[in-house]
Amino acid sequence: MDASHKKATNSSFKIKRVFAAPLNRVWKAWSERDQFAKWWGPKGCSLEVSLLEFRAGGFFHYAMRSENAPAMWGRFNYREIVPHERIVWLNSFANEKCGIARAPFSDLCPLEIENSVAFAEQEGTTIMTLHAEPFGASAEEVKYFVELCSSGSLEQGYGGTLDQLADHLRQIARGS
Amino acid sequence: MASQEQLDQVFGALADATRRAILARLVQGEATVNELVGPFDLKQPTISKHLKVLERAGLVSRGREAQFRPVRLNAAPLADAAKWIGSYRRLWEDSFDRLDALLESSQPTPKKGKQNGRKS
Repeated sequence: MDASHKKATNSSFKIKRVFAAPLNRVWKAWSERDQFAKWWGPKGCSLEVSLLEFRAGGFFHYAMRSENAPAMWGRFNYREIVPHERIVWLNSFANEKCGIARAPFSDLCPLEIENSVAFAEQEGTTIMTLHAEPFGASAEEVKYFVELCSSGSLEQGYGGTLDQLADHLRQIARGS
Repeated sequence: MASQEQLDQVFGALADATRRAILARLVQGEATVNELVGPFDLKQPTISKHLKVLERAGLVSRGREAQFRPVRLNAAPLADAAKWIGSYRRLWEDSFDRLDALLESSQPTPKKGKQNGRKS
């Protein structure tokens, strides 16, 4: 029984995008150090790669640097890599030595997030589907995460208005 | 403010359908326990138990008057839970935008009638 495999397929936080490039090219953008550093990361940060071991069990260790702020470190711990098919990894904040760490700015982030990205080629384009969910969370937490994520109103930077909350709650109350 | 522990409690509290229904009811305004018992077809102690879970998660607060103790919704913890999900989504959407640009720049796919390869 492969629990992680099952979990990754029926989650939660999901983004799907189609890229106008063949799969081979997109795969390189994930697997090659120079390529990956060029596009991945939070906006407004420059990404400095200290390690990229693109293999199951390997680490991607990086520093996010922005002006007037201390560097923030993060890491991927690759768990499964199936060439041209899928990548599964745990993402977390880290220290300079690639040890796991809490988010430096907030306790709100789960310690680790399990991510899984699947690739499929279609007529020269690449369809990429990313799933994510807190790793090690209880079944109940995951269930709630699923519902929170599938609600569009909450994703739009929930502004705290009661109207939006009302809509969301009505929706999930009805749906269950 | 919101700690990891509180966030866990919020997630846990909201994982139950009855508790979500209670919150949905409270969106319309505060209510006493008795008023909450009505629509749910549950015994009052059961409702009270659910309310305790919601209270511990900071999602509802209860009035002082022992007799009525109206229950009120407190939306802030829910907003906190939503916040990081929003920022995580943003991280990926920004990254995918850059990947898009990278793929376009490094691989001149001939597209007729399009001089500038940038997407709007």
